[in-house]
Amino acid sequence: MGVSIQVQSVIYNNDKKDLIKAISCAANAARVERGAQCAVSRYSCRYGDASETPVFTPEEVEEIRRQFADTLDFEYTFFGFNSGSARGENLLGLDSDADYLVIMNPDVLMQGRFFIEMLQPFAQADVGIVEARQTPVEHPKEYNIQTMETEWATGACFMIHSALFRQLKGFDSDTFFMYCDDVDLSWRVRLAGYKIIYQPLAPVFHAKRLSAKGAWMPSPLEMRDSAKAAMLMAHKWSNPEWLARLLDIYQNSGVPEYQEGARQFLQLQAEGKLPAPIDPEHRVARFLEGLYTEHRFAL
Amino acid sequence: MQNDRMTFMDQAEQLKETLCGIPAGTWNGQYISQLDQTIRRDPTYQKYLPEIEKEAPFRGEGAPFLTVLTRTQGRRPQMLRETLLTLCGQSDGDFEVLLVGHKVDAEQRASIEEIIDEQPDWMRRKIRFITVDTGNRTAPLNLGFARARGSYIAILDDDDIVFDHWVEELHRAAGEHPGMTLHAYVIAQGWKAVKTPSGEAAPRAAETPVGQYCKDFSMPDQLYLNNCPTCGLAFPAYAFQRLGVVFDETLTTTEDWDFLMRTVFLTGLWDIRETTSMYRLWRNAESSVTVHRKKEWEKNHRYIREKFANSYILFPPQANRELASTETSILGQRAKIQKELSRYFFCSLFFDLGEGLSLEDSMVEAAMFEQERFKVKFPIPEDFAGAKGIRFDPGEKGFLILKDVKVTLELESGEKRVLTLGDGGVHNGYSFAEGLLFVWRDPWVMWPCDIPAGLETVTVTGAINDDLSLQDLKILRGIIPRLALQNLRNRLHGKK
Repeated sequence: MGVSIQVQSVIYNNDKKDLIKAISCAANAARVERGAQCAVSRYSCRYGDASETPVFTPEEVEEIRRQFADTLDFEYTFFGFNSGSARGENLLGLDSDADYLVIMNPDVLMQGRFFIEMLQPFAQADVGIVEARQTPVEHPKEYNIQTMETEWATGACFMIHSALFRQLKGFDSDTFFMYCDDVDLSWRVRLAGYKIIYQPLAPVFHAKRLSAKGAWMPSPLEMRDSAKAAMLMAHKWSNPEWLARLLDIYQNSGVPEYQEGARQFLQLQAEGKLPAPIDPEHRVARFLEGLYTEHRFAL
Repeated sequence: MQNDRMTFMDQAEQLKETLCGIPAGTWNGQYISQLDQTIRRDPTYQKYLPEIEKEAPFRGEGAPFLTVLTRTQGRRPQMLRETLLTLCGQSDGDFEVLLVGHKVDAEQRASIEEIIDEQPDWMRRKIRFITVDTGNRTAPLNLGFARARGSYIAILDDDDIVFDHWVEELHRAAGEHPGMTLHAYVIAQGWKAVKTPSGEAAPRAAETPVGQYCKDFSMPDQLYLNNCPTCGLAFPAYAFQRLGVVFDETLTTTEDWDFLMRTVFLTGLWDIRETTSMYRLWRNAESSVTVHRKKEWEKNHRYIREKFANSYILFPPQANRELASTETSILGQRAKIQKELSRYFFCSLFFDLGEGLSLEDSMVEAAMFEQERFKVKFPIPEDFAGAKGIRFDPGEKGFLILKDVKVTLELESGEKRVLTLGDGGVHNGYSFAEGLLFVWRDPWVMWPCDIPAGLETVTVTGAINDDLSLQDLKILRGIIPRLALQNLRNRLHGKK
C-alpha cells in the first residue's frame, strides 16, 4: 500500500488557463511517478479560491475532474473571502487525510519527476519538509551541499508530512497573511526536531522575472506586506533589538510602502494583537541583516 | 526554391537598373555583386536543400510561430529537463521544440526519449526528436534549421533557461518587425554543478545575476566580439531556408556569432528591451568554453573577423550614429579603453604537476589595481589532483616592484593555507627591504611545495609598482647588480 499525496494551492483571481496548466503538470508528474515506481497510491489536488467571485464555474470544475480523473482527484473550494495564503493553505491542508501535502503557489509548474525526487529525502525519518528548487530564478538562500539541509523552505513549493502540519496547526494565519508564513512554519518544524531538505533535483517553474540589472522587481504591495511581516517575525521569534532596528529603518526610509508596513505593525501592537514570542534562546531563529539564513548571492 | 532565387535576382536586376550609371566597381555595384555571389550559393546550403524541402508541407498556415532548436548530446539530462520545464512555463505556446541529438549512442538516445516521455502530453506533442551522427557543433544546427517548421527559429542549448515571456516577446516583436532578426536582453549568472546524495549532479546558482548582455545590439561592437548569447536571439527562417545563410561547418567554436552576423547583414535586427532568458556561466562544469582550447577560440575569432573584413556591410542609421559620435567613435573608445586597461594587468598561475612547469597547466586572470594593491582569484578546475609546486607570474613585462605578495590556497573542505615569500618562495627578481624588484621580462615567484588535491581557488594579493622613478633607483643602489641598475636607468631615460 503506497502513500497518498495532496497538492494544494490558494488561488486569487488567477488566469484559468494557467491554473489548468499547473494541474496538468501535477497530473503528469503523478503519471511519471506511477510509471517509474508506483510508491503513491492516491493523488489529489485541492484548490482553494480566495477571490471575490469564483474563478471556475461548477461545469468547469467538473470538466477538470473528468480531464485528470486517471491520475488525480480534483477538488475546488470557493472560500468566499480573501483568506491570504496562510489561512487558505490551512483550510485546505489541516483536515486532509493524505500522508503528504505539497503546498505551492498556483502558478508553479512541476517537472515530470517531481514526486519521485521529492519523496526521496523523506526516507530519513527526521525529515519534515522537502523544498523544490525554483527555476528560472533560483532562491539565493544557502543549503548544505553535502546534506542538502536548509534553514527554511519557501512557500513557492514544498512537501510536508501532513501529520506534522496538523501537529503544528499549519501556518500561523493569525499573525501572517502572506509573507514570512513559510519562514515561520519552517522554523517551527525545526523547533519540533525535524529537518528541512532542499531538493535541487526537483526543479519547478515559477514565473519570476529579473530586471536588466538582475534584480527582483517587487510590487508596492509586496514591499508593504513583506516589511510588516519582517517586523512580525522579529517580534514572534524574540528579537526585540532587531525589531527596534527594523522599525527605525522602515519609519525613516522615506518609502511610503515601508512606512505603511511599520504603521500597520504598530497598530497591531497597540491593539494587543501580536503573538506571544517564542524560541527565546534562539535555537532556530536567525536574523542576518534582513535575511533568515545566509544567502549565496545578492538578488 | 528556384523561383525564390529568380525573384531575388529580378529585384537585384531592378536595383541595378535604378543604379544605372554607377559602374560595377563602385561600392554599390560591389555590394550587389556580393549578394549575388552569396545568396543560395553556399555548397553547404545545397547539401541541406533536400532536408528543407522535406518539411515544406508542414510550413505556412497551421505551422508554429517559433521553432525552438535544442541540440543535445544526451549528457546533461537534468539540464535538458529544466530547459523543457521552462518551455512548459511559456505564456505563449505557439512554438515547437526540435531536439537534435548529436552523435548520441543508444543509452543517450534512450535517456533523451525518456525525458520526452516525462513531459505533459501537450508539451510532448510540440517536441520532435531527430539525430545527426556526423559533423561538429554546426551539423545539428544546420539540420535543425533545415527541418524547422516555424517562421522564426531560436536556439536554446540544453542547459539554457528562459523566463515565462520569452516566446511572447519574440512573437510580439516578429509581428511588429517581420523578417528581422530579433534580439532580447539576456541575464548572465554564475552556476555550479553539485553532487546530490543520490549521486546525480544538480545545478546550483552561485552568483548574483548580472546584466552584461542586457544591452542593445551594437553593429560596430559585434564585428569585433559577440555580445549576444544565442538564447536571446530568434532568426527568421527564410534567411536560412530561402536565402541560404547556413552555419559554417568549418567552425568548431563561435559558429553562432558568424551565423548571427551574416544573417543580420541581410535581415537587419530588432532589439527587444526585455530580459527574457538566462545565460548560465558554468564555474565547475563542462561547457563549450572548457571543452575547446583557447587557441582554437582565437583562431576561429580571427577567421570570422577576416570574413567580416572582406565584406560590404549595410549599416543602419543607429550604427552610423554610434560610429560618428564622440562618445562611442572608435578613436574615442580606444582612448577610453587604454585608460581602463592601464588599471589592469594580466597575471598567470602555473602548477608543477611533477614534470616541471608548462603552459598546459597554467591559467591567466586579469587583476585590477587599486592604488597599487591588487587581488586576483584563480578558480581551479575540478579535476585538479595536486601539484609539486605553484608559480605566480605578475605579468610578462619586467621593470616592476612586487610587494607583500601573499598566496591563499582555499580547499573544498573550507581549509585555507597561506604562502608568503618567507614560506620558501623563490623568484627571479632582486630582493630588497621594500619587496622584490624584477628588472627583466617574465617575472615569477615560485613555491616548490606540495599542493593538495581538492584545491578550489587560489587568491593572490599584493602591491605592484610598475611606474618606477629615478628616486626608486637610489634606494636600489647597492642592492642590485650594476648592470641591472644601468638597464633600469636607461629605461627611465627612454633609452633602448
